[in-house]
Amino acid sequence: MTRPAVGPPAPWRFPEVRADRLANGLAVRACHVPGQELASARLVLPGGAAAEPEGAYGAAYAAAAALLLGGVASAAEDLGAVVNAEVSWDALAVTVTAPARVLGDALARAAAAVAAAQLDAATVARVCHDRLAALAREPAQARAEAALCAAAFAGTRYADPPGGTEQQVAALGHATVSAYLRSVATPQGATLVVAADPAAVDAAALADRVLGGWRGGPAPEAPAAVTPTSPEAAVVVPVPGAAQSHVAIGCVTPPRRDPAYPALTLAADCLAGTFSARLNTRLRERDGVAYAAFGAVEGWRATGRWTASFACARDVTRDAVRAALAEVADVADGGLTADEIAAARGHRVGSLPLQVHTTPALAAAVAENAALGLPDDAQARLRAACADCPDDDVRAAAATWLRPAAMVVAVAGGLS
Amino acid sequence: MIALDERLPNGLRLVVDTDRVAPVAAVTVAYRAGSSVEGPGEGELAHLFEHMMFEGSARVAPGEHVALLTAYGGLVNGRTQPDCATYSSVVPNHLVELVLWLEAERLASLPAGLTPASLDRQRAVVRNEHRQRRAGVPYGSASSDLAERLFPPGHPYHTSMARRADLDGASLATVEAFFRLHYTAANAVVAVCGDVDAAAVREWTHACFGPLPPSVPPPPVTGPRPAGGARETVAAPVPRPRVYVAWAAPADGTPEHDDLVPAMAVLTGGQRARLRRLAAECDAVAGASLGIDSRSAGPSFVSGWVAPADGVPPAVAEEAFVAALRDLAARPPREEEVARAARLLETATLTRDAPLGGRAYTRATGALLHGDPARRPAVTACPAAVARAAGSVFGTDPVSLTYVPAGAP
Repeated sequence: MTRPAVGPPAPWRFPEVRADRLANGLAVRACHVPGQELASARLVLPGGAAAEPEGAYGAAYAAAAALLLGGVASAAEDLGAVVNAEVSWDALAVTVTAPARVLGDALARAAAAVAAAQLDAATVARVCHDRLAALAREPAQARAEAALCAAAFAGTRYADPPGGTEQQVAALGHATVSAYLRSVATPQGATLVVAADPAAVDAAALADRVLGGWRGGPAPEAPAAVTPTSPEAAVVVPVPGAAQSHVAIGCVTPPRRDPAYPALTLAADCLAGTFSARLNTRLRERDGVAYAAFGAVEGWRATGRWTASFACARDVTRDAVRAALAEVADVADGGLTADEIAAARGHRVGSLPLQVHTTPALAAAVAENAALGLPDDAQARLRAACADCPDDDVRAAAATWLRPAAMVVAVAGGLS
Repeated sequence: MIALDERLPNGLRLVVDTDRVAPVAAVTVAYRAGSSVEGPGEGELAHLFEHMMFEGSARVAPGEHVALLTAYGGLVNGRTQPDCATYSSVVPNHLVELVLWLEAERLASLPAGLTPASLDRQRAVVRNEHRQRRAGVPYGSASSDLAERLFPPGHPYHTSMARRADLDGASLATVEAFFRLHYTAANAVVAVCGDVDAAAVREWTHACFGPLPPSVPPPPVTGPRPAGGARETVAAPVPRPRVYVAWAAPADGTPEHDDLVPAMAVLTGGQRARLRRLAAECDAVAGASLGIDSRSAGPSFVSGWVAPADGVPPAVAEEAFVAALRDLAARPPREEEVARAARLLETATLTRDAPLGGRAYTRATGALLHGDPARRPAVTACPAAVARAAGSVFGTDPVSLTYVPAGAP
């Protein structure tokens, strides 16, 4: 049989999202996914790690962990729901995923505990202790990435991990973590996202029943734009006894709302976004020095970053870093071919329907948009912008944002 | 919904599960060619072979398979486990015929793409993969260290540094022989899930895979019985002491395994799980974890760890940990505890099968290893059966490895 020709793709549109708002200010987003047995809800509190005041770095992570340990999860779990709490720079989100028939009751139990915003001292102490233990056993790759951010974002909140450094976590106490939680646990600026079969879950009625009586103060202010100073070029993090080097290369990029974001996304995809992109092809397939080399651009409210990472044997680290930087330099210097950009564009356009076809993934996507202040279908808009993005805009974004001179290289494990 | 389940005349099994949630489809091809079928001197061959499957064939250039599907938005991966090797693609649904063609093409003509250069390239990638997964990750070698001791040399699940070193000696001839023995139509299942027309998928599958010759799958490999009881202390680059333990457990597909699944959920599922309570309430224990790697051909692998609290000897924490597991056998759980575990397992199963890629994998491996593509993990059992299942595993001596920071007294 001969190789089949590929026809045109089937039409696709972002699942329907209905917007509503309760009298107390809570925004509601109902994502309709007919026929799905599994349902997912996310309560997004505005102001993640970026909303922590100085002296309270790490409080958002501690609050999220203490909510889970302190009872947000267990009552909903009794019904079969899986409950999680996550922190990003811009939001603290509590997720409830369950068969659609029990989602309402499970959400009611979890949301009541979030709205109450009460943490007990022993629970906060426990989660801080656990967090310190986790930091002590952090993999070398995470240490390299932390070192990269410390250099690239020096002088800003983004220089420290969103969960805080060991010193910062050790200094956290019940009063600080509770104050942080009270400042963000308010319906003003919060969003409840429900992705479910609309025949099984009436999201607006559910929101009103579960959170209609929630009261709280004003929403935390959105973080101000961040302008980091010039970074150091290279950082080495010693890891005693390391058998290999863990490398992170990256730089500061613009916030998610920047008009150049779609073009930069394509440039970053060409460089390290897929298996067939520059870095993986060079380091894995051609030079044979790394198992995998991938990277991505992330955009937040106040800033963004591009990071790529890989691990290699210590004795080839220097050459591997040089090879990676040579690829960065070529991409920044206009070296992307039309075929490379077409492949990246095709991947962006083709992959979005794959990424949001489940209720948990869709709820996560719409919740991220709420946290970033973006339209409900921001992923579809990004896809459309990528589809229409001229090649020269991609090369220009690479030249502006992926400059070798702006790159920080962090190596955990050390160079031989 | 399974719309089609049939065996082609050459022995290949095709399963189609239609779901119109989005114009997306997933294809998994599963082969009974996991690490357990490797012979003496063939350690890591199954894994190396999985990499060679992306090195091109008669009409596909090296790397082209992945690059082609990625450029349309597809996600492509290969995975080698003890019982099987799987090749998964999640793609926009207009690519399904092309995916089937690519899969059949490499099954028909892979040796045409085998070269010394491609073998050396992928050997290096596999070496790098080993190093990346094990080094730089505290306790990263624990799972394979446990399996090495629990499954004796000669057992299909045995693993060791020496087995991994076999990689150096793998030749093109060995790779090709492995292909001819295990990569056959009768030793494979193709599962297609998503927004597809079952009749069209059937037609494409017959056209692509139908010409492959019939074959007889090789017999399952057997080996010596697993052996618990080994106890060792390992000095390693870890920040704190931790005790890792492992037991052999009933094979997936047996009634005993079905009862063990809810037992594991009682121990580990959610904030009220017994091991969570142990970590919160027992002064000797800072943290604990337990999991089951369910395997169909031989025993399943139950393993976990316990971290002692500051100043507590590891053996004391281990004793508390093992006692908590054995307590489930000694005192049957309450009805509500088991019912709660069952509800959490139902959600876990729905979550696993909601992504089309996950569902295609489940359908393919269910058909290949258990004969049933629609198979779901057991979620219900009576408290007495849960207790019996826990007792049959945790009542025996585990392999126990205590990791301590290298250089510590």
